[in-house]
Amino acid sequence: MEGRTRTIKVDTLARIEGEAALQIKMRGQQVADVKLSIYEPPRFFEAFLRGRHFSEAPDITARICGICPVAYQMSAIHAIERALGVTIDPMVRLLRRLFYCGEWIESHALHVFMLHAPDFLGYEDAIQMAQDHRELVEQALRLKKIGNDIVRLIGGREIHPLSAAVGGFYKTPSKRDLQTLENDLLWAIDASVHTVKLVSGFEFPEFEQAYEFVALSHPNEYPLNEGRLISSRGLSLDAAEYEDRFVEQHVKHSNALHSIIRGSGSYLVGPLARFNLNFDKLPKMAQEAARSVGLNPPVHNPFRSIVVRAVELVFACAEALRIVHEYEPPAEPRLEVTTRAGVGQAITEAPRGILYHRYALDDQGMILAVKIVPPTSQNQKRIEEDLREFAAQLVAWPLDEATWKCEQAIRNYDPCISCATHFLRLKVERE
Amino acid sequence: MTAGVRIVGCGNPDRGDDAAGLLLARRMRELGVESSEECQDTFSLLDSLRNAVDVTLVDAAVSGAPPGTIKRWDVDTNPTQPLTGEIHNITSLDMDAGTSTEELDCTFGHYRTSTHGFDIAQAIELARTLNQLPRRLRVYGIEGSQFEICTQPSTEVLAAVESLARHLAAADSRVQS
Repeated sequence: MEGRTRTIKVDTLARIEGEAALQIKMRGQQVADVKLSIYEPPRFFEAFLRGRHFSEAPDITARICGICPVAYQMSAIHAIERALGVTIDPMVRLLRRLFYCGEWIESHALHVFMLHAPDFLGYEDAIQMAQDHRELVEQALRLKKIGNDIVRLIGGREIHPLSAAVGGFYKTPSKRDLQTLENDLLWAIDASVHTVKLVSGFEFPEFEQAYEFVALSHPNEYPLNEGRLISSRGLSLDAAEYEDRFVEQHVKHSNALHSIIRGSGSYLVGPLARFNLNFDKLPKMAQEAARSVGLNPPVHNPFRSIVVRAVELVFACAEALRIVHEYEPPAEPRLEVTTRAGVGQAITEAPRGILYHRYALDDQGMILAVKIVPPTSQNQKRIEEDLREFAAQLVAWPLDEATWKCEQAIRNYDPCISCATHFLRLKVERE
Repeated sequence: MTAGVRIVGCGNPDRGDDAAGLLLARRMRELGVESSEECQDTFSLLDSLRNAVDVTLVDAAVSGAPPGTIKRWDVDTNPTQPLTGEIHNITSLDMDAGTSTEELDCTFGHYRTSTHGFDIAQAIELARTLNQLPRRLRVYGIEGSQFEICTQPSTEVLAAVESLARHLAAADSRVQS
């Protein structure tokens, strides 16, 4: 083994959103190099938005991602509302929170069951898994559909919703409209609690890292649209200060930009970060579901993220039901907004982690400059560092099994590669 | 259109030739034939297959054929290769010359590992595993060549959309009469 070099190379990673490739080079028992490469169509959205009116930003940014368009719309809208000094109706705030719950439900259900569970159950993909676990797959599809139904009911359609706007919504549902979700959400809560039990029984590699977790924090609720940005190492800042502490760096081997905390380094966003930093803000039902399977914060094993996502499914379904009960249509679905020059920033919690937007507007409401930092690009450096450590455990494994384990390690992050890239270069090499 | 019979155009309106299926669905409606559109979410496609008797799906395809080539895959009689998504016994559809059958490696939709980790072939095989396939299911692929974001469909694909739409509309009117 000493001095022997072997390379684990996966040209196209399966079961992640978008496309990416991985190369790990090992010499003997040492990991010599790790490269996670992003291949995805260019994301020139920051440039597209320049010169457009702010009212177009929600529709344009929604097209960055097919699975998390609500996240892009919410970050865009909150940033622009901040620039314009808009204060929304409390019922609009509640409706936006429900809107986001819908996206979390469909995104987490998709990932937990269809993209990640096959790894733990030893299947090549969900189709193979469905042959032996048909009920599990049917449950996943039903959960996903419930999330899609929420997004469609509020947003007008499931993919790239139409209704979200600066100042509110172009159209808001009636209370009766939302009550049609009630029975499905009651089922979804039970199904999610069952999912926590199921996935907590999977076999997890012994692997923990000393992450700096970063997430929103709100005094009264598990964070979605609002809060200060905090970290497990004492960071606490407003969205307007984000770029003072978080820096993006371009790396040669990847189309995505790597984010670091100035003076610190890589960090981790997403379900593990939210769970570890906001556990006490989860509804009691979700806390109990976690505790019942021995999942207590802090969780440092990224392979257990599947259990954390299942707990967040319980949260999202319970929160959605709470909002369905409390909602009353707002007096004004959408405020008329006074245009002014200004700059606004916002951070919201996409299913995969914090999503930062900044907009600069002129006095006609035209967009002068945009910055968008997706969660997966913020995690990419951390993913590579995980692989550098994890690969060392796989030295003695057969190459195909080691390769599969590395793929699984990447899927821990549910990476949404399609929104984390800024230009395209596709190159496939085989040895 | 007969109850339980559906025509579904699949694709992405923002990626050039990947809009082929959506353009076809819209053209079908202009020709007086009911059809629906499915953008990006292959899991929602499963809803289109469920509780239907006869479904026609149309999407962009990548098989190496010249742009605008139309191919048909009869799903009910011809499963995909598991795992790889390779499809055999594809029928080439030439409106003038008729059909011929070939084996080839064909991807429906631009990415083999598509937006949600499932391409159309895998979504169909999932439906088959769950016993949710309609009695008759055929997939038409229109060969595309440009899929860059925010590009327009190629002239070859636009011509193929028109040709296939008229073919399907004529078939529908024969069924109705």
